[in-house]
Amino acid sequence: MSISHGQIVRVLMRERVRLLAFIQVLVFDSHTAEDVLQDISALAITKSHEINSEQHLLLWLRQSARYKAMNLRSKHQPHLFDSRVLDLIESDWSMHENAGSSEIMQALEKCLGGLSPYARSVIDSRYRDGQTGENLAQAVGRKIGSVYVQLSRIHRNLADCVRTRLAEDQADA
Amino acid sequence: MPESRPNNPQAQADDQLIVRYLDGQLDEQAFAALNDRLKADPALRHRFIDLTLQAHYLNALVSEPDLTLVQDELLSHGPARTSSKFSLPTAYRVGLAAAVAAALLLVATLAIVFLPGDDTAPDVAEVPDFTPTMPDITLDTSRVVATITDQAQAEWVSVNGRGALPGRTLLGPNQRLTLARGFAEITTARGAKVLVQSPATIETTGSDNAIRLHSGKLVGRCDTPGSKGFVVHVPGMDVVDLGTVFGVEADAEHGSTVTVMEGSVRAEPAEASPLAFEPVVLKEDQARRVKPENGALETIAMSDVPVLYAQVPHPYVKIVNDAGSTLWLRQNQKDVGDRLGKTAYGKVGQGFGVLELNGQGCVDIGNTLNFASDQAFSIAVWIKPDMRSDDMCVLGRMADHLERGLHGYDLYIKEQHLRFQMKHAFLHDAKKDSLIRVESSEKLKDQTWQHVFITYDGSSRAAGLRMYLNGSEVESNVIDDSLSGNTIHANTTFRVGIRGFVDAERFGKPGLTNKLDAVGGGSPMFGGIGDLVVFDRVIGPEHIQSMHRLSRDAYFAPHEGS
Repeated sequence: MSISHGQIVRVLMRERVRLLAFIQVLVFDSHTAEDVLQDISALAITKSHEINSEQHLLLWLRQSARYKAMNLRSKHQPHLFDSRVLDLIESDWSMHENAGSSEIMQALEKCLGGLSPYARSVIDSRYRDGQTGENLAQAVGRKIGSVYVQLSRIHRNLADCVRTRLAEDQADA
Repeated sequence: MPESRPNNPQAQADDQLIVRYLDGQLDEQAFAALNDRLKADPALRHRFIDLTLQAHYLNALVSEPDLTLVQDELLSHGPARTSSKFSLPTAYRVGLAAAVAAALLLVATLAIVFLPGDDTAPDVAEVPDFTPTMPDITLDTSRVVATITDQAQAEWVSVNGRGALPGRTLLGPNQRLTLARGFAEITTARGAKVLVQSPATIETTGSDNAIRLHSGKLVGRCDTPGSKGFVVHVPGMDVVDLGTVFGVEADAEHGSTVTVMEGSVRAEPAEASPLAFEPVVLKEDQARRVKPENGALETIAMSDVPVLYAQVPHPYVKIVNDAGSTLWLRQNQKDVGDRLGKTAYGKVGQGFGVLELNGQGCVDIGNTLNFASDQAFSIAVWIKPDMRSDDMCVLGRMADHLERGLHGYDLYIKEQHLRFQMKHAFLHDAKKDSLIRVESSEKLKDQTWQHVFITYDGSSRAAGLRMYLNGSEVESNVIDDSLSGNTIHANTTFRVGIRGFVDAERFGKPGLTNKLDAVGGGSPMFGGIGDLVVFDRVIGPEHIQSMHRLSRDAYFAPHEGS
């Protein structure tokens, strides 16, 4: 039995962040990643009669993204991993899809609320305002290395916090 | 989620390396080191995936695309948001100009439809757990001369019956098929591709690099060495590719037409009438038609060329820009809800990717689509009005220049009737007001998805405005028809879901919340809005029907109850 257009759209919306993250690993450039996602999303709808489950769809989307990215790679040279690395990342990727995107987002949102005002301002500057580490360093008058240390610590704390919250939620359920 | 990471110096150094990578700040040597380590260290790969995902989740959660920045970006191409680096908060695409020409549209169409072809996407059959769709039509494929390589909502008719065909279907010589519905891409054995738009009847020939078009339209693209010399046979003419993109229409009543979008083709008389005209090479933006009455070849203007329009359905709001690509409003509800506060914007992306507005907000697309009264344009949008208000603005670009009056245009719903207005009003002297205002005779349906299409020919006359509802033109009443030479240019932004009655200069750039508060609503929209497309030209009725049919069947019909 094939998947419906509605199911495809729901999966695309639900998995948008993860798909975009995966594609960005392939092509690095965020605009190109958006383009690839748009293309394969549109193609998925035309292929709906040949796709029989959500898992099948996700697998197909990642493979399609790989194919499409291969054609784009020559135009976007910097920061592109070699195909062996991409094979390995692709095979590991599904292990990071056990938790639902919305659950992770909710947990992350709560964890963000627990950050110190300074840590929160660093995250906001980086992700809301799009500041690079270099700009951040200039803004706060610190060395760039120190900013990356701080950023990586915040990421680590957030990851631990999310993990704990997801585990608690699972236990509550 | 992966296992917790060890918090040792190596792990910390790895995390910093990954964060730098995500920031686009690794030099070549460091990147090569990361590449090698990812290859060798499974734990690092998991850390890498974990951090990459977290970065994207953070972006989705906290990014608050400042609309004023978006405007600045549009105007100045500022560096921060247009960086090609990772720069996660990529709120909107840039470069809007709303200037898509017919040829660009065709090329864009080709790009959309052809790109995801054989070279770029795997056959679904390669993916495990694949259950193939059985063909409803049996075809002789003893010698394959072409393959149906892609389809969108295609329904076929052959001598054997009517129905769907598998995503990839092999075609032997002299097989005649009618595409009753949808679109199909056919690739010849030598690599030439044609996009066929329904309704059309095609036939393979004995050649592995030719196709016969009995009726209908197709666009051909030949960009592989083997496909050079590809021939499309249409009544009265053979179109020989010389490395190009071209459109062909076979129409028994009006004759066969060829249009060149890129490169060149040679138009030759058909075998049956070799002396009808001298062969001619056509280049980009040239078009010819075979007169049905005598078989002669006549030159026709590009503006008279029947345009093939193929729109890949999608669940997003989009604006076609001058490069033929699209601006896609981000559908993540968080992007809008979080960045704009609870009162400023409605929900976005709920249901199936459309805007859902609750009278408390809108989406601001930025300082773009600034049409003048002598410029042609067309606007297409799906709406599902919730008629709880008698005055709801669907979209528009209307500024309130406080001392001067209202300038701009907008599409709105007044007592369930669809209205479009273009106006240059004077605050202190209404007699000087210069405006066109047109209203649909029939009422819109409440709580129903409807496809609205407005075209304007740049004549500054109400007669130049046409309204279409669900693919068909509707009668309209002219309320005002006094647009004079005054410009409708305005220093404001294009907004969806609210009328822009506020002068940006007065409020500076504080964000939309203040503007909304200041105007007390501006006829906010209640209901759904989706699949917005803006063109800088008049779109013809045929294409409007085509767009309506495709987006309805593929996208909105399944959500009629949504």
